[in-house]
Parts: sequence; structure tokens; C-alpha cells
Amino acid sequence: MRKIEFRTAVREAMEEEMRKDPLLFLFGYDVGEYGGEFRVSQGMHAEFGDRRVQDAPINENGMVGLGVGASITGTKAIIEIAFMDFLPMAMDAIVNQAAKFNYTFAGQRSVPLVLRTAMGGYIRAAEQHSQCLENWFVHVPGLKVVVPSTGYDAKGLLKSAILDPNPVIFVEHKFMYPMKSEVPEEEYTIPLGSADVKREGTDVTVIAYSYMVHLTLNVAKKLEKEGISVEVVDPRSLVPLDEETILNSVRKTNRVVIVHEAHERGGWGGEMAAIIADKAFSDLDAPIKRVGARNTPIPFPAQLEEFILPSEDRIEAAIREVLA
Amino acid sequence: MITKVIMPQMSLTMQFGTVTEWVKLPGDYVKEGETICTIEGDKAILDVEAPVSGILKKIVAKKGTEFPVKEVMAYIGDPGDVIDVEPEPEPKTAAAEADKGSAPVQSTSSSKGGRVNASPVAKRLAQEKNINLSKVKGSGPDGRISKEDLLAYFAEEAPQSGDSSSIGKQLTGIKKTVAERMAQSNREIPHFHLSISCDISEANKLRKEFNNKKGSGSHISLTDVVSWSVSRQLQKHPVLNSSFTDNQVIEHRDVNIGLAVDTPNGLLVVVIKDAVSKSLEELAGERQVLTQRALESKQTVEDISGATFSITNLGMFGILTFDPIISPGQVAILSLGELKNAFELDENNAVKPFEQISMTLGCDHRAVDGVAGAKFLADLKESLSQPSGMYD
Amino acid sequence: MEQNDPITQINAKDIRKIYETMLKIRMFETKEKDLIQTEQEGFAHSYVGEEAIATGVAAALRQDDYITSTHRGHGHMIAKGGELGKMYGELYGRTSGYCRGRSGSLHIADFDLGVLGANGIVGGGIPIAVGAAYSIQLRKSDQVAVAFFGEGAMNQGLFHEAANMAAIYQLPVVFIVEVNHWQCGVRYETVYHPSVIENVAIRAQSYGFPGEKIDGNDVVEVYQYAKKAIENARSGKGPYMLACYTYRIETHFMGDIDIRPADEVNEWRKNDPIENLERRMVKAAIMSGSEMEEIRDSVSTQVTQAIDFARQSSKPEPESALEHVYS
Repeated sequence: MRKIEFRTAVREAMEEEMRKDPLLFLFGYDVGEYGGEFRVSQGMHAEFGDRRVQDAPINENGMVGLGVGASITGTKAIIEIAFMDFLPMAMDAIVNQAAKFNYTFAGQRSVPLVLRTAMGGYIRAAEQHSQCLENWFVHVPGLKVVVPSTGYDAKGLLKSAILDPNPVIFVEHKFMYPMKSEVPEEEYTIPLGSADVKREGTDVTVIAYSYMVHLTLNVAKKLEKEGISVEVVDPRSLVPLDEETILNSVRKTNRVVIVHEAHERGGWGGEMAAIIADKAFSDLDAPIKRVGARNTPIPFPAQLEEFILPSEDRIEAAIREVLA
Repeated sequence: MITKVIMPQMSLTMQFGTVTEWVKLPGDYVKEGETICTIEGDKAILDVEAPVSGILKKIVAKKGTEFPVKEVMAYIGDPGDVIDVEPEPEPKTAAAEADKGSAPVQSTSSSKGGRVNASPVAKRLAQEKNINLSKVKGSGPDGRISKEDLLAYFAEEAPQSGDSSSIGKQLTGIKKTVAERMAQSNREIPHFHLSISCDISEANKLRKEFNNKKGSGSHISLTDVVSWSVSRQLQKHPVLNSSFTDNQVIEHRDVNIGLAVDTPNGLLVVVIKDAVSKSLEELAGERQVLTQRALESKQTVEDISGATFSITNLGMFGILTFDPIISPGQVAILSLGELKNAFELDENNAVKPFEQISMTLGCDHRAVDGVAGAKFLADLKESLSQPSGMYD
Repeated sequence: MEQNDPITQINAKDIRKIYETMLKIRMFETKEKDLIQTEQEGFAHSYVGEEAIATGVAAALRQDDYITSTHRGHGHMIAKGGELGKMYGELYGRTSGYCRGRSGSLHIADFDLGVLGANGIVGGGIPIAVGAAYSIQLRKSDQVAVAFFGEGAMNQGLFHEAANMAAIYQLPVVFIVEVNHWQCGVRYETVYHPSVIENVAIRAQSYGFPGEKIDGNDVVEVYQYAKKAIENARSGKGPYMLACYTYRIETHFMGDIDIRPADEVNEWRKNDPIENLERRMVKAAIMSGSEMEEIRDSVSTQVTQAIDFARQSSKPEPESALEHVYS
């Protein structure tokens, strides 16, 4: 099977859907001729032209607001705000407008908007260009939050997100864009709310998403040589969440580590740990451990950034701790 | 005002009751007379009703575990009442000695001042397998008992179950009573057994004709036919309708036939009182009613006490003969086997088919000797092969 | 006024409808002021004194044109064809309301009428109207989107972003600024530079589209200029701004304290847009006093019936609050 980059898989999902729906458009700054800040939309402007692949001024709140207005009047919008760090500029449009419409107006009209953005560090981009804010949006009812870890997952999930009548925050990862994976030529979708067991194991369940899946798989391979069998479960979407797959894994292994790149305090790990402690309490053989960024802004040079962000060493230490 | 709900003593011999279900839960409002729980005693099952109206404040008797009779099993009060925690009553028998089968107790040996340091899954498994956590050694941090520790302990301490997948189940209620009484009978009564086979063709033919004629209604079974004959024969052989106590044989005036019934809660013996005064149809009708009540766990104490002679039938499973155990308080018991087609040679050496049933009489040798038992059995056979008066 | 009073250019049926609509808004809001302080929960923001703007603009719109509204949105909704019963239903929190009683005054919407929602965020609706205009353009339709907002919202960064995008994409959107002089408890003169106060519409030029100041209490003027701006947008010539100068007669929300000087309020009461229209209609002999009386009575009855309808409607069950989080 062919192997393509993560960014290519995302692009293909958009292209395929835009060819089918002539009223679907992509809107963001630099998405046009420039091809996108992470080269995701390269070549798309040449195919679809202005207004369907439209460069925008730098105005995040207005952009998402425009996306809301367009989506509720018959033209679905994919808004690209390349750096997740800029989403705070658009919070009103995301939280007070997009998330609320269907509920506030009692189902009269939904907002089928996709907001594509990229989280994460490991690229030495410093404090205002490296954040993972996905859990802010998990906290707002009315939004869906998707966090693919591979190009294969990203393509299938993005197609589902575009077809979903609800507003979806689709969170890619800056560091993963060039990573290759096997992606079939034929069209396929992956439903939101379906977790994926990336690696089967029996001794401990590690729940990880986005780039952390890759670090965790490295650790699992290493620990296999010692006879420690690690099961890696990738939720793929945080809202809606596939609790059943995750809890079945916990019931099998009895031990849990949750890994995310976002800060530990107030990160999604706390949400997941509470669900497990509630619904699988009698299956736990050890306390639940979380691994996330330490609670500081993300600094720029390698040795500082790597100290703050999760590392394979820290993931390994957490696994060993729950196996003690 | 606080009202105590007491675990009732349903019979003189009952020492423990077990709550099978709490129908009302703490916080619920109960009306006077409303059922708050069902309990199983040594012989019967009972709905316990609220003695007053109010809020069910606290439950003391836990579901599924034995609780001593006459102790407070729950409290009903007004919304503002506060129940001071009374210490749970100590079990009054030697049940505390049975450590392997007992529920987990509060440990005094862990480092956390009275609480056992065990992981949630270890605690759950300990409860399921009836393991006392205080006996398990923990290998986790701070001496925490893990699932692995528990399973290791279980494998060592339970050698009769080769794998760790067996689950112990403590006997309560009726099943416990049966176990105790059979053991007692085995210990105390010198049993001997006599078997006889019987030509029941005529009786069975008449039975079928009767059932067809009557249509639906009291359907007469083979057991009913035997009960009828047994009850009449016991009048002629009263020693088999007696009790042996303190070196005395006490013959009973009434013949109360006990019939063994297999119920979901265990083996019960329902009792047809004064069987001699009842016609075959009446015996069959009463058998049906009593059996149905027992199957629905609605049997009364009256239904299951007072038997003077018991009959048990396993013929429906293809059993040919079996040696039954006498119920304590009686001196004899009759078992019935499968009805089979048989052949014999008549005086002209011609083959004659007939319907045959085997019966085994268990006797208490302290009251009944071999000849007495044999005579009874012979008369019974005679009356069954040439039935008269059954269908009048 | 003489024979060439522009009011004579409007046909009689339309004038009648304009008059009736302004009365509907006035009576709806006047009654609501009582109801919100006695029978209803929550908050409502009165449109009394500003009726000419919503009415005049809506008179120039089609049903399939879009509008976005504000927290002070009852007038826009009624002018666009909203049913009084369903509106009161929503204010009473009943299932007969536009949002099945769950959202109240700030969120009344009817997508069939093109009303894309009142909005509780100041300026929140402006980029949504621009987005609707983007959709119109993409679909090659001849619809128009209108964003109503106050001069307070014009200071939001959101307005700047929306206006700029409307201009650069030449979108069919009309910005109606209701300069009602007060932003809750703050005079607008204190948050605008003196060079802008007199005509806030000059800001439009900095984005590249026309903006004009008009008398927001003259419904005929509003109607004429609205027609011009809307036709401009409909024909593909891009955005337009009308700064409609008016006055918020009531307090910010119904039942709020009033820190404004009494004589200032009273001065503006004399410039009542409905009385202005009535005088002109009499003078131009378009409608008699008794005809006006008849319309007043009819509207009054409609309002009363709508209130009764709402009062008798059922309340939503608590569990209904769990519905519609996702479509």
C-alpha cells in the first residue's frame, strides 16, 4: 500500500469532499497560493480557485464567525487557523456562537463547521506557538474534538468531521505533518467516537493521543524485551469519546497510564482518569498515572523544551510505577 | 421516633435468617404493612413488613449473609432522626471458626490502622472468592495487595480447586438446613434398605382411564397412586408411621405423607396431612397445590412440617432404584424408580408383558426391623398390583 | 410637508404595513416591560423609540434575505415577520416559543424568516451576517444579508474584521448601525473620538465602502436609504453602511436604573418615530385619524391574544434541557 505524509492525507480528505460538494470551502490565511503554513493545502487553490480556497486577512474571530454564518446558510466551511495558539483570538465565535447555535435555537439549525488547527511543540517554536489547548474545547458542550495520530486516521476522521452537522475542532500536530503512514487509495471514513487499539497488550493500558501515541509505541517496543506487555489505546476523538473500548482495556490489564502533550494540570488526563475511577474502580490494581507537559509555558531551546514536554523516559517511568 | 425491625424467628429451630432482597432501601419512605425485605429461614421464605410508617433509615442485615434471629436488622424513623451506630451482633454459633468459607473481615494487621491495603480489583476478587484479606501478603508499594498476590494466595490455600477459577458459595437458608439434616440423619439413624419391584399395570391403566375421563382438572400421577396405597398400608403397619426419640417408638395417629419437591431454593418436602381421609383425587389436587407453592417459594411453614412418612421419586430421570435417606423425626422413607415395560413368563411359559416399577424402602433399624419392613413392602406391592377402591 | 414629501412615493399598502409594524413593536415592548417585571423570568431589552429603523430596513427586504440581530432584538424579529405569540412564548419560557422556551429574549431566531438569531454577545452577529453574505456569493444567489448592531458594537474588533472582509470580498451585506446614544450606562460620545461622533458612518470609508448618516426616527428616510443600500448589495456592488441616529427611550434592560437626565429623555420623546409618521400621514392625506385608530385597535388585540396564547402554553420538561446539544 502507498505511504503518504500526514499533511497529504489531510489534503486528500478536503479535496475529495470539496469535489463532491461544490459549496464546501476552505478559508484561512495563507491557504491559497502559498499552500498553507504547514503546506497542507498545497495545490488546492489551483484546482478550486478563489472563494473555494480563500486567503483571509489575519482575523481569527471574524474568520470563525464568517464560517458560522456561511455554514448555517448552506455553504459548509473548513476554517484553517494553523497554530492552535491563535484560537484564543476566536473564542467568542467558537464558544459563544458555533457551539451554541443548535442548542440555543432548539435544533432549528446546526453549524456544520470544521475548524482545523495544529497543536504541539517539539519544533522549538517557543511559548506562543507550541501549545495544546484541546481540553478547553472538550469542556464546551456542543463542540466535537478530534485528535488523530496518523495520516490514515486523519483522513478518515476529517471526512467524517466534514460530513458531521456539528462544529468540529480538528486538531492536527505540527511535528506529525511529515510523518508517513499507509493510506489506501480508495475513499474511506472513520466514525468520530471510535477509539483504536494501536498495540495490544496485557500488563498495562496506556491511553495516548496525537503525537504521544508514537512516543508511547516506542516505549512499548522497548519494554516488550523485558517481558512487559503494554496495550496502547488511541481515543482518536475526545468528544465524542469511545469509553467502551477504553474501559474494556482497563478491565483486561487493571493498570492505566494516560499520556498527553498538554499540561498535566487541567489536562484531558484528569477527565479520563475520573471516568475510569468511576466506571472501572473495581478493576484497578494501581492508581491511575498521568504524563503530560510540566506546568510551565513551553520554552524554546531543545534541552529546555524536552525537559518540559513528555519524553519516552517519563512515559516509561510512569508505566513502571503502576506495575510496581 | 425510631422503630426497630427485628429478624423474625420463623420456627423454633431457626437461629439465622438471610435477607434475600431489600425491597426498600435507606432513604425510602415505607408505609405500615408494606414489604421492606424478603428473608429466607431454615424452612421457609417470608416477606417482612414495616411495623410502622416512616423512612427506612438504616439497614443492618446485609443481603445474602446470615443474620441472627431476634436481632435488629433495620431501623425506621422520621426524617430528622439520627441512628447511632450499634455494633453488629456477633454470630451466635461456631460459624466464626469456619475461616475458609467466611466473608472477609476487617484486618488488624495492615499498616493503615485497621484498613486493608489492597487494590480495588484485589478487594473485589477477595469478596467473590470468600478470601480473608488479612491473610494475604501484599507485594505492592506499602504492602499493597495486588490481584496477583490474591490469586497466588488462592491457588495455595485452595488445593481442591486445581485452577483459580472456582468460586465458593456459602450455604444459607433451606439448602443449609437440608445439608445439616441429611448429615444428622446419616450420623444418627441406622439405615437399611429393602427393594421390591411391582406390577403396576392395572393401577396405571385405571389411572390413565380416569385422567382421560375427567379431562383437565386433578391429573393423577403415579406418585399419587403410590401415596394413596402407602397411606392405607401404613394404617396396617403403624410402626412405619412413627418417630423414634429417647429410646421410644411413638406411633402417630395421622398419616401425613411428605413428598420431596425439587425447588430453585433447594429440596423441600411438602406434606399432605391426614392422607388416609383423602380420596385419590383429593390427594392429587393437594399435591399439585402444595408443589406449586413450593416451586414459587411461597410455601408456608404448615406446608412443609409434620410429615410422618416420606416418598421420593426420581423415576422421571431414568433412575431405576436408589436408597433414600430418612428425614430426622421419621423412621421410614420410600423411593420410586422409573416405570419400565417388563416381561415375565406365566404358568404356561408364555411371555406376558407388564408395567413394572421398583420401590426401595429405607428403614430406621431402631424402630423397624427387616421383617416389619418386608411385610409392609409386600402388602404395598399386592395392593398396587390389584388396586381396588382407588377410584371410588 | 409639500406634495413632494417622499412618503407619497410609497404605495398605500406598504405605508399601512409600515405603520402597523411600528405599532406592533411599540405595543409588544410596552406590554413586555410590565410582564418581565411581574410574570416572566430573565431579562429583556426594550426597542422603544427605535422602531423606525427595524421597520424601515425590513420593508426593503425579501423574506429570503438574512438578518442578524442583537440583544435588543425584538424589533428586528417583529419587523422581519416574527409571530407575536411565538415571541411571547419564548419570553415566557414555553414550548410554543421560537426556541421551545429554552433560550429567552436574547436568542430568538427563525431561520425560515431569515432571522439568524438575536445575539447576547455585543457584535457577535456581525461576522455571522458577513458569513451569510459569503454563502450568498458562493451560491451565486441574489439574496442580501443585513447586520443590525449598535454604535457600541462598532468598537468591537469583531466589527473591524467583519467590515474589512465584507469589503475585500465585495459581499452583499448591509451594516445598519443603530446609534441610540447610550451603551448601557455609558454615553457613546465618551467612547468615540470627537471627529467621529457626529457621523460614525465615516468609518465605512476606511474599509472601502459607502456609509451614510440618516435620521433613525424617520421611517420614510430609513426605508428609502435602506432600499438604496440593499439594491446596491443585491446588484453585486458590495457592502454599505447606514448610521441611523436615534435614541434609546427606555433603560438598557427593562427595569434597570436610569442615570440619564430626565430632560434629555423627554426631548427625544417629542421626536417619537410613530408620532412623526402619523403627523406626516395626516398631512399628506394618506390615512385618516379613524383609520389609524382602527389599526391601533387591531394591533392591540393581536398583542393581547399573543400574551394569552403564551400564558396558556405548556412549559418544557426539565429533561428537555438535554436535547439538541448535538444535531
